Amino acid sequence: MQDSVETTLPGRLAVMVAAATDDQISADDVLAGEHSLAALGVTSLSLIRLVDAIEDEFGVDVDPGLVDDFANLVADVAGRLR
Amino acid sequence: MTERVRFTGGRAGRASLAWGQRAIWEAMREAGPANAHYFNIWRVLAMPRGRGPYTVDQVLSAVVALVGRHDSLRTRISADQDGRPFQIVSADGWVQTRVQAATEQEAEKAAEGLVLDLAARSFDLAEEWPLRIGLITCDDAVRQVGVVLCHTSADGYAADIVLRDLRQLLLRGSLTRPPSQQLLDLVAEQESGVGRNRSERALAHWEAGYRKIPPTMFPDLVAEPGSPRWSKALLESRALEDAVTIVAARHHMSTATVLLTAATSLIGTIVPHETCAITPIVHNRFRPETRDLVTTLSQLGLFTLTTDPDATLAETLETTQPEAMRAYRHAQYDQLAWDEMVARVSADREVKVYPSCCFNDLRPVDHSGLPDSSPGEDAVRTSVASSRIEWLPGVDHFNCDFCFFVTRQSGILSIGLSADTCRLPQSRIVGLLRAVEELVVESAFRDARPGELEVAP
Repeated sequence: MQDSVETTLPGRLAVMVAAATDDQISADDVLAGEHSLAALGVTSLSLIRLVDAIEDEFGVDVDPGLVDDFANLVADVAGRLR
Repeated sequence: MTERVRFTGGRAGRASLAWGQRAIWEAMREAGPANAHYFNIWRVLAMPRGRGPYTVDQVLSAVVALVGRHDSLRTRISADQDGRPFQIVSADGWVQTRVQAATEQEAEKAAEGLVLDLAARSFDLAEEWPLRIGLITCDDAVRQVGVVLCHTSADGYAADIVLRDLRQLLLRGSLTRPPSQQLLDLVAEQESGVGRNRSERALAHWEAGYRKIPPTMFPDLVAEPGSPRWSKALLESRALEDAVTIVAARHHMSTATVLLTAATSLIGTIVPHETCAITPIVHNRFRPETRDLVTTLSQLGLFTLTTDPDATLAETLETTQPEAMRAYRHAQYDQLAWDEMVARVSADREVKVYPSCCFNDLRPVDHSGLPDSSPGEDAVRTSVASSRIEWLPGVDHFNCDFCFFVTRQSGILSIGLSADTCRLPQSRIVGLLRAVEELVVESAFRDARPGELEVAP
């Protein structure tokens, strides 16, 4: 179960990032991990939307001040789901 | 002339106030009926071009459909025997509309006068519906519609939804898609476990801040009261608009966050505190279901900044972005629980904690991206000379020492400040607005520090 979460979580979160930006940013760009979310063009409005969506989807609360780095975000959510 | 038209068919119910409503209700109660009109929100809608002409009856039909569409527009608020407010959403009732004739040339100005007149008195929350409508007609055709909303039923964002829906109803006759959420559903959500958890997390953020911030940001009375005591100035600045766009794009953040940080940094140069606390009014329109929701969702957030006059604005922006995000995120909470938290912390600290320092971005929520190009340095610097200060009507009594706001005037970004002149004389009000402009304009092209700027005493 844990492996399943860890292998699918980045993909699910990347799709949620894309949705939070009204698909102005693609999930593939997010998964490429070459830039911070802000550098990709994720606005503060979208970041708060993303945090809300994560809360609704997974029932966990992530710190909105620390979600800008996608790898850290994945690790944070995974940690809270364990 | 007054027209009266019946609405019917919406759903009905009784509920507590939503959190944002409760905050405004309390503020209006404190202001009293003689002053609560200060909170009224108004808009003017010019009839859609290329359609019509619209008769009064046609516009009233659209208004009836509008009122039927949104719970909030059919809501009246009363207090129970213990003084606790509750609201009743009604299925039917009557909307009164004032109709006034004008010439084509005067229609726009007449609409402005009519809507200001309709907004000039407080709403009777228990008896009156929370919207007033005024129509300006030319030769029996409606040219302008003025809409005044009670702040317990709408914030600025909701007022824009109301106007958008009214326009669509005039153009199409009906709206097929229901609103993304209704007031009664929002109250139910806030009273659920999900809502309570959200509120508790937000209040944990507030309590941590309230235990360390200065009890109030402007403790010192430094001058005799000006006239009016709470004076309000506005700086209209094309240069600031261009510069803040450049800075925001460079740091991948919103222009609101740049202005919030710049203003807070400069406050740090004129107050006797290392930590500055300011309460941005947050629209809380982040979740998809809030997009068409008509109510007052906006509530205060808490933004704190340990100021360093020698840090560049760029450095400060990089370090404060996470704190700004937390302020925006934690601005949805049970207002009564917030009151209890403030009382508890104030008792523990043996001083009333109330920063009395707020920031209000009145611009519509910006869903768009940044422009592809901006004017060059020379053009921006040159345009500073055309920035201008305007004094707006102030008041002699108010409950906040320092209200910084961002708006648009004549299509140009404007920043304003309403402040207690006993704490910030009028010269300092202007000086602070000018300093925000200078800090941001300079930061667009070089490293600039708040400590380098002199805010007029």
